[in-house]
Order: sequence, then structure tokens, then C-alpha cells
Amino acid sequence: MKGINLAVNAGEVHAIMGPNGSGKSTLASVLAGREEYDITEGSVTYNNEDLLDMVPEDRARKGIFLAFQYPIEIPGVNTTNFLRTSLNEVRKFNGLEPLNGADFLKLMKEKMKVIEIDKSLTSRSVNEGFSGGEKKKSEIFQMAMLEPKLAVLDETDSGLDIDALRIVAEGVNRLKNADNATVVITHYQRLLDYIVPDFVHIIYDGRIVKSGGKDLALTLEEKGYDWIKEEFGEMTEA
Amino acid sequence: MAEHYKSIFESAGNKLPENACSNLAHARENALRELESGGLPNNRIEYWKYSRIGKVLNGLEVTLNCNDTQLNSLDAPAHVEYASLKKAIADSHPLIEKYLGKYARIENAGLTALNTAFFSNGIFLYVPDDTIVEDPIHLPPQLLHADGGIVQPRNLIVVGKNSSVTLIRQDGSAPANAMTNAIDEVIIQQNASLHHYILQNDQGNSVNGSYVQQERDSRYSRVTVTLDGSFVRNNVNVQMEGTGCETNLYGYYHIRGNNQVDNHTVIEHMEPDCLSNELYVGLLDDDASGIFNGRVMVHQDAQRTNAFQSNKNIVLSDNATMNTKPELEIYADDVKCSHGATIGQVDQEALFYLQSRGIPRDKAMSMLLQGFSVEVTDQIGDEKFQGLVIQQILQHLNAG
Repeated sequence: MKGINLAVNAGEVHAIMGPNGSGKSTLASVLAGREEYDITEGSVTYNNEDLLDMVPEDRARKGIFLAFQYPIEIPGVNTTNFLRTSLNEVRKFNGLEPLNGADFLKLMKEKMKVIEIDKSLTSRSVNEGFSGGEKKKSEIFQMAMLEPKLAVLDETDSGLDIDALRIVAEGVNRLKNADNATVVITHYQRLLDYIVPDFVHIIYDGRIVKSGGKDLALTLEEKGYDWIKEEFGEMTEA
Repeated sequence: MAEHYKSIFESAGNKLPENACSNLAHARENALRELESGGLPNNRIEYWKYSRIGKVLNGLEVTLNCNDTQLNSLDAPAHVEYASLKKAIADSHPLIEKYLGKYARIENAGLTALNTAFFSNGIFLYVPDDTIVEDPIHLPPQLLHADGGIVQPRNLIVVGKNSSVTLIRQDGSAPANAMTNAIDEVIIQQNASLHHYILQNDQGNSVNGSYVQQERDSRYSRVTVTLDGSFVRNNVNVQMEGTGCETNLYGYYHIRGNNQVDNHTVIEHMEPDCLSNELYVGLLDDDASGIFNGRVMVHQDAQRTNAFQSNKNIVLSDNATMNTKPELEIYADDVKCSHGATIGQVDQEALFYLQSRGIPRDKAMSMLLQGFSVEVTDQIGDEKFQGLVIQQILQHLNAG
């Protein structure tokens, strides 16, 4: 990555689009704190703090949530126990009492309704044996439980049929409020029929080459990524 | 050396029980002869490769003294015959004559021979035909050593036709200058079912041999959980002599320090249409060493056999070692078999996933490690004992 300038404010939805290999998922990984990436230059400021200085768990506790492109299966770790541990770690960090079993289950039930997630999923191991759609729904369900300030959805729409896509998008829309922000990373314009962004950014070869309103996504839909490659391809060669 | 065992045997006097029928005396004689020719195991024997058995046995003498007071108050559910082996022998119980020493093969098995020559006590348990025992039976721990030396507990368990029982055993610690050399003979008769759960926690030195004989349509499910123990070797030998049998062997081990845990299993499919399923998983830390050797033999007549085996390990330190050897020998042509072994580290992706949900790294680590044991603890059918095992596994994880 070499040139990402992006400001996301509370209450905003940003879409980041780009062809394969342009750096979309790298951006998501860097924001969540994946260790494999070395940051050689630049900075990320989150609520006036240096984000890059924080370990992944602290980022999460301070309200950053990454919906994974490929959520990993964790055999032997029960989904409900995992969620409760997660939520209570976040609460503890923010000076709140941990939720007891009954309150936790109540909250879980509530959120399950919002996301239309099947009850059986929460009694299974984390993501184990879930279909592609179930995995993505489970990510959004976790997001609903943790109520992040900044959610980064990394290609959450990829591989979803239209029904699952609609449910995932509705979930995101319902969780949206004036205090939180969402960054939607996607390859397909289709998602933006369901989640209406305030801003659209096009990322190509590690940089944001174009920013605009939601109309930009429509242009992209019309002209395809080749248009971006033609217009900005020479920049990389130069 | 042979003279040596013979003289111990001759001086044993009335410490070794004998029955009126001469089968036991005969078995003891044969065992002494086997000891004479083969001696005790060492690392030069393939079956004991990687094992530190030689070191453990070094300087240890056979002991005839053991603490068997726990066998005086065995509490049996209705219809179950349950007594000390000594008493069953003294009573000349017909099953003693029928089965004792029948399946514990001593050929090229020095420690089994040692046990057969010198065992003095253990338990005898018989579930008669057509008996469903609802509550699990908690067996006493293996005999303890009254002084140092090698002690030989011997157990005979017979589950009668169409019967069903759950047996639970929890073994505790033994002194460092001692070794337990236990043999279980288990006979599961036609269409009977045995659930066998064993928790070994900080055991000292022990070799636990089980010889399980399954008649047609019988089921055997075993879970062995080993949490340290300076030297623990489990030999589980299952022979499915009839059709329609099912065998499930599960194991979990977590070893630290300089300890060694060694699981050797042999499953023999003799007849058609049997199923065996085997999963051992383990964690190795510090300088610990683990061994798994799983042998599945599908004999020529055993058509339509299903046999699955897997051994998965996580090595947590640079100095820990794991030797694993899945072996599959197939002589039939219509079978479905699989086996596999893995040795790896904690999945960094899974760790990051948990961290990215606010869970601190060390807690995430402990969740993943605990999760590793779940496939095995899920197989413990008794809820209360399952809870206890999970709690001890957790305690052991957190003690690190």
C-alpha cells in the first residue's frame, strides 16, 4: 500500500472498491492489527489515538470490528462461550460489569432476531461446518453483539446468494447510527444496492485513486474496472 | 536373570493367590518361562522404541507388597458381581478359570509376563447377561506401592451378553522409586456394550496394558485422558473376534516438564462388518516427549471393515518432541480405512480471530488449547465425570 488517505467520521458509511489485488484486504488487515504486515510509513489515527500502536485486542475493545473475508473455523471453541468471553472482555476494558449468563442470553436472542441467524449456529463450534452464508451472517451477528464504533466489512458480500446478501445488508443498516461508522470493502457494486454509502473510494495498486459519492459506484458498474486500470495504470508504471 | 525371577517366585509363598483349578499355576509357569527367554523390554525392541522404559526399570525390583485395602469395600450395583481378584480366585469363580490369562498374551511381552507371573490382586467385575447398569461404576485406582518396586495390579472385567455398563477409573500418583505394571483383561460378550473412561493425573511411572476381547455385535468405547505422569505408557489391544463390532478409542494428553506419555494401540479386525474409530490428540510442552503408535490390522476375512484413525499434536515448546506412527495393515480387499497424523503449532489465524474480538492473547491461547481437547471430552458419556475431566484439563492448562 502506498497512498491511502481516508477520513471516516461517525455516522458515515464508506465503500472501498477495487479490482482483485488492489490492496483492499490488506487495508482491512492493517486496521485490525494483523501481525504479518509491517507498516513502513504513514499513520492511522483513531479517536485521537495512534491505532498502529495498539495490539489487536485493544483495537477491538476500543470499538474496531473486522468482519473477516474468510472467517476461520475454530473447532472445540463453542460459539456462545466465545461471544460471551469476547463481549465481557470488551465490557471489562470499558469499565462495565460483565454480563451474567441470563442477561447475555437475552441479548443474544435479541440480536439473533435482527440478523435472522439460526439458533443452532450458536451452540456449535465457531464457524465450524458453517456454510459460506452462515459464516458471513455470523460475522454480522458478532458485530451486532459488540456494537463497534468502526466496523470494517472485508468483502462480506462475496460468495453470498441474494437472500443472504439481503439479510447481511439489512443487519448492517439496522446497526448503523449517528455514533458509529462503517467501511464496506467490496469487489461488487451489487452490495451497494443494499447498503447505501455516503462515500465511495476506488483503490487500485495500493492507493485510493478516486473518491466520490455513491454515483461513483454506478460509473464503476457501467464501465468496469478496466476503466480504472486504463486511466491509472500508467501511474504505476511511471 | 531367569533364576532371579524364579527365586522371587518361590519365596513369594502365600502372597500369590492360586486357584483349585490349575490354569493359573500353569499361566504363571508359562510367564516365568517367557521372562526367562525374553526378559523385560528395552529400546532395542521396535515396540518400545523412543520409550524410556529401560531407564525407568533400571534398578527396580518386583515387589509383592502393595496396598490393597481399597479392595475390601467394593460397592457393586444390584446384579453385578464385583470383588477383589484375590477373592474371586479363592472362590474359584468359573469366569476366572475361563478367562484369566486367556487374552493377555505374554509372547514377546515381558511386562505382561511379569504381571502374569507375579500379580496378587486387583478387581474382578462381572456384569451378567441382559443387565443394563444405569449408573457408572467407579473402579478404585490401580494398586499402590507399599514400598518401591514394580507392582502388578491385575483386573478381570467381563460384560455378559446384551449387557451394558460404564466404568470409570481415576489414577493418582505413585512414588518416584516405583512403577505400576497393570494388566486389564476385558471380555465383552455378544451384543454387549462397555464405556470405559480413564483419567490419569500425575501418575508417576506406569505401564497400563489392556487386552480387550470383543465378541460379535459388541461395542467398546474408551476415553483415556493423561495429564502428566513422569512416565506413562498405555497399551490398548483390542481384538474384534466377531462380526458387527464397534470400537472407539479416544485419548487426550497434555505433558509438561521432562515427562513422557506413550499411547500404543492395536486394533485387530478379524471378521467382516466391524467399525473402529480412533482419535488421540495431545499437547506437548517444555521438554516433554510424547509417543503415539496406532496399529490397525484388517485380517483377510474382515471384509467391509471401516477403520479410521487420527493422531493430532500441538507442540508448544522448541524442546518438546512427539513421535507418532500410524500403522495400517490390510489383508482384505473390500475395506474403507484412513489414518493420519499431524504435529503442529497453535493456529495463528485462529489466535488473531479471537484477539480481533477483544480477547487477550493469553486467554485466546488457552481457549484454543482447551478447544483442542473437546473432540475427546465430548466422547465421555457420563456428564458428571465429563465435567470433572474438563475441569482438570483446564486446571492443568492454567497451571503452566
